[in-house]
Amino acid sequence: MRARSRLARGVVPALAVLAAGVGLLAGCATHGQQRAAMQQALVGRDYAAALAALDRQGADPQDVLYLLDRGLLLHYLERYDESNEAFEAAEIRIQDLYTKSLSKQAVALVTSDVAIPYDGAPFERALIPYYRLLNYLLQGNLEDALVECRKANLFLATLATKVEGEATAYQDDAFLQYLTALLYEDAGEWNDAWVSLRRAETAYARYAEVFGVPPPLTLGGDLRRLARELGYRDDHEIYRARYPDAGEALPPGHGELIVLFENGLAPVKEEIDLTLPILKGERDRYREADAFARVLAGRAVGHTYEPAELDYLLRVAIPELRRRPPLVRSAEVEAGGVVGRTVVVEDVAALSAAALAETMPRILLKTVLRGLTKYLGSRWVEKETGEIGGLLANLLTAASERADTRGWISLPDHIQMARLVLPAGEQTVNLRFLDGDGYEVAVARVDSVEIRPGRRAYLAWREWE
Amino acid sequence: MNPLRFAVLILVAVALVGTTGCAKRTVTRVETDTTIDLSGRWNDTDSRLVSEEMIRDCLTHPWLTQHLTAAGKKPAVIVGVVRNRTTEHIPVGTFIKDIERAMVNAGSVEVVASAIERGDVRDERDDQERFASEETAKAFGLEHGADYMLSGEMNSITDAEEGKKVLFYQVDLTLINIETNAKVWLGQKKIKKFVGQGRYEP
Repeated sequence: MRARSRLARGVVPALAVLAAGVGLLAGCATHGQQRAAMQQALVGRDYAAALAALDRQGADPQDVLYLLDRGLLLHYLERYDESNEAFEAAEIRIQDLYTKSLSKQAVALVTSDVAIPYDGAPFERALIPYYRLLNYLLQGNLEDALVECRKANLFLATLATKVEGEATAYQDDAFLQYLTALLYEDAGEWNDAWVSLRRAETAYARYAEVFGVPPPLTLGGDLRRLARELGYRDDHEIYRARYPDAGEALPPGHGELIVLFENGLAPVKEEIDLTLPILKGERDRYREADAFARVLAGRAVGHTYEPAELDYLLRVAIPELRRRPPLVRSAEVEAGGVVGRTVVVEDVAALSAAALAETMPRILLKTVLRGLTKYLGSRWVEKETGEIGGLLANLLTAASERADTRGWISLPDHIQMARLVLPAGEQTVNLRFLDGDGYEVAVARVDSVEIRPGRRAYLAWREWE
Repeated sequence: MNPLRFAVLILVAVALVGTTGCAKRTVTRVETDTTIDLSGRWNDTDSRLVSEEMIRDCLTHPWLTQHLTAAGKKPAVIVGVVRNRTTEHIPVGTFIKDIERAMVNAGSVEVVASAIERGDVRDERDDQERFASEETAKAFGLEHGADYMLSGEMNSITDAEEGKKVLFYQVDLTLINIETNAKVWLGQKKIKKFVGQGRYEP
């Protein structure tokens, strides 16, 4: 009778522990592993197969990462309207996810952060308008590309207000400011171009300091030219002194080719296990779980103790970034006898690393608190139901322990840019992809690129190796 | 955390997740002039209201009576380009159609076809010349040239912070006398919207 009663009293927490474990038992692979087939197809440049693999893995229109990957794959498949639809759906979903679901947060508290819908890191959100503006540009629709420019600038202005005074590495997107400035100038919207260009200059100074990405050499010439066009004599003098070697204007009868070279694959997050020692008597010493979790999180870097002091080894899983440095390091672009070399303008991998590093203390504390809660719950189940119940509870809670490894992994490792001044007319563009030692790894050719006098043409290329 | 509270928390959470996942989709048919604001973005109601109000304003200004007195007939107006300079992909074509509709329905001006539409009409006339009977085929050279061109732009300003957003739209339209380049009417309409979004839901 006593045993029965103990069992009955243990049913509720046992079910709770069961809930914590069962829901997540099915999918214990990391996000990168789940997207393995898609990535394999991408490396083989088979975008249709990549899209099929993505849909097979789970076509969920409520999942931001599905929509982002879909948007990007459709972009490479040159299905630009569909790509924009997917990206727009992602943007709307991200906006909706500003409202946090308390129930999902509660589930995450006892299972894993994976229970909370993913709403994208700021640098990932900023790259949505980049791909959307490319979609419009490649369809010859400058007006809608400019809408994306304004959206990007609005997002970055909101981000700047949000992180003002904080030590956040990513406070503005230098590349997006630069690219939008060029497009505003293309449309004759010089004031907007001027604002974006000056913000690009400031943001690149920070990029150079934090991410090791210096401003492109052409930026100085752009500033000088716009200052002159707008009649800002003082600014023109300042920029002429600051960038004495930069060229300002296109020679008559010439246009410009801008090559955007997206290289490699963004880093993936992998799961690593941490074992944190709980020492005898500590459970009674810390009445508040938050305080206890803070103490345990501090042991992530290592803790010395006598074996006899050990009460329990708490296992928690946290994400760790693995970079996938591309074999190709830069590209040589040749057209009409003019040769240029691409330079890094956006280091996606570095942005990703900074984003994770900045959120890591919060992730660690939350993870340890969750682990501790599950541990205390399991101990209670054991106390109420006996050793087997406790063992079962332990197994289930351990199975639910998963790091949040999600991210937009189809993004490139980084984006490079080259600018070539070319005589007007139809041009064939030859691309040579070089490794770190300058050896040719691959080549590509793009025919019939039209260069119009006084205008810019844009060419986007992706390498996966 | 007390283990019992821990257990109750999970069960409540799991139950809530379960119930939120069962929401049914409902579709209700509504009148097309019903105002429904979902996201705060520019929508069909904005397009209709702005075009109707601006054209009403346009047609009550002196340029119309001055033209009627001078020419003795209704002015022919062509709706040209309305540039979208906002942060949204506004279907400008719908807005232009709304403007044309408001003008045609007012009856005081003649709206002539746009360049693309004219091309289609000319193709049709060319077709008629070859295939239709002489009595019914329409002749070339009788088109009405526009006296005025209406064009403009849409701008927006967004101010957003922590779940609150103020959207400000401004539409500027200009009516230009094609012969003299004189601006005979300048219209402006502003719309301001506040969009609030809660931080938490069950």
